[in-house]
Amino acid sequence: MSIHTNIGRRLELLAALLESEAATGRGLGVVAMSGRVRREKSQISRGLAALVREDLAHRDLQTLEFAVGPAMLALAARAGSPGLLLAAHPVVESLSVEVGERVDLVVLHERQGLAVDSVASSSTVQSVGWTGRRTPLYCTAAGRVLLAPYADAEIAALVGPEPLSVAGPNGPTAIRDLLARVDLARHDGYAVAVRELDPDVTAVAAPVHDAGGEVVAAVTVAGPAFRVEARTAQLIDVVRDAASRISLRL
Amino acid sequence: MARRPAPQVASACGLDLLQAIAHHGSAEPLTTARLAALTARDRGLVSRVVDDLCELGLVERRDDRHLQLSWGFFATAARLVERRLVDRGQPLLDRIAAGHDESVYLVRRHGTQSITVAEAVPGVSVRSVSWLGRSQPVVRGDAGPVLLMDLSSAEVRRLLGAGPLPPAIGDRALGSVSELEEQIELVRRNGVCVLDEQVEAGVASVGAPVRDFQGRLTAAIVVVGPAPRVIGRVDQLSAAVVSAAHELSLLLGYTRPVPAAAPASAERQAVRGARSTPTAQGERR
Repeated sequence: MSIHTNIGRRLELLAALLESEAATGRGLGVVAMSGRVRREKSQISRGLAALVREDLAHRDLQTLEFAVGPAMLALAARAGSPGLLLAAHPVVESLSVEVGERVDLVVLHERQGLAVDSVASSSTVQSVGWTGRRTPLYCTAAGRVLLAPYADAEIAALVGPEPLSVAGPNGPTAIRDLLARVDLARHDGYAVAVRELDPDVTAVAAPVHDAGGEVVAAVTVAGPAFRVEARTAQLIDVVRDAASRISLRL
Repeated sequence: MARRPAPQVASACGLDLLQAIAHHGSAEPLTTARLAALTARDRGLVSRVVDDLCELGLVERRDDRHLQLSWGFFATAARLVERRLVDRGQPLLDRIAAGHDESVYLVRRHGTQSITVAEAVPGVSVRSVSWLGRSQPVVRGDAGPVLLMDLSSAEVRRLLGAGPLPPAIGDRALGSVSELEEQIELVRRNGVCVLDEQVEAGVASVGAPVRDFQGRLTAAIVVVGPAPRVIGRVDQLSAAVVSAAHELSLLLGYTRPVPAAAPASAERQAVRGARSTPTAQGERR
């Protein structure tokens, strides 16, 4: 990584604290930090002290480890598109109440679908805390909705080389197959992915548009295939309705 | 904790730049030049710092050159906060359990169910069955009214469905959605939820909401014990639970102040009074 400014070097330490705690639940001491960023320990100590002074980092006096501080989390609350999150959450919450399955709001980020809001349902305990999860664009309903605005060549570049690796029996492995499915989503204004990401999961998604008409996110309902497939048509209706309600609020 | 105003002195860590990016309205694109003007910093320096911020994945530059804090930053922070809830919640539960000799739970809601994600049970000889990882209907859990407090009345009714509430033990148990809503309203007003045999005969609980960096209700901390013991110390337990929930919320990045809890005992008297009308039934004490 090439960082050129003093501020950048201090924030590199902060980014390392963020990654470390998100991945392992642990902060970092000076020694552990020096294993991650190639710099003198004294320099790392001074950098961390500067972060602590501005509340961006916090030092645990028992473990002597540094962790992300309140000012950094306050910034995180404003990251991405706070307006989208604010507009979408009540709709996502109420759609989840209505359908009784997990509902996610997904955006396209770094060639993947990134869940930026998620409300868990009664049926799946594991899906509490789904926000921040990443899924492939090509074998999810949300992904295809997010790919729909792009030209074929751009889609091919976004999803990477063939064969596409899929875990479910129905996922597309050829770009050609994917393009046909994206075209269907483009034409229908929604997408359905039947046992593509996972052999037991089926999902429905619809696009959220901003005031300028651009697709900025997808609303998706995902659940056990047998339950979703028993009422796909109804789910398509309510998911499309929810997505357009969010669009209206933007 | 009050949100700090942007520092007057240029921050050594670029906090002023990050805050300017975070709080920029979406009316017009925030370019590097504009960011330099807003923070009264040298344009060349700001340009180099912005390159570093993009390299670190904290900031992203849209096609129209608009700068924003990145979705990646948001997602990583969200995963961190998920982990912190239990990791940092556990010592707070332990503290209450040790200090007050009662069982304490960290509970979350998924749909109509609540699930215990951490617990602290005092003593070793009379250790009860663990609730960890177990689900139950949210209306029949000690944290029910807290976990439902951010939903509208219509949403609560739709969530619970039209039928009768799930079966409960004891004749003081919440019997209808209206009684549940009464409790939800009390939590909204007092910041604390006191249930005296409304979940299970002989059992009382004191619960408070935990909020995260987005201001959302993410969990509840709840003390559960024999009704006379809990109700006899309700103010003391309320203070302990509210303070732990507040402390945990701060660790999760919650920035708005939590209103001081009204003495729960006084509020309870008021509610009892209101309910001892001719229509109220089954009031035993």
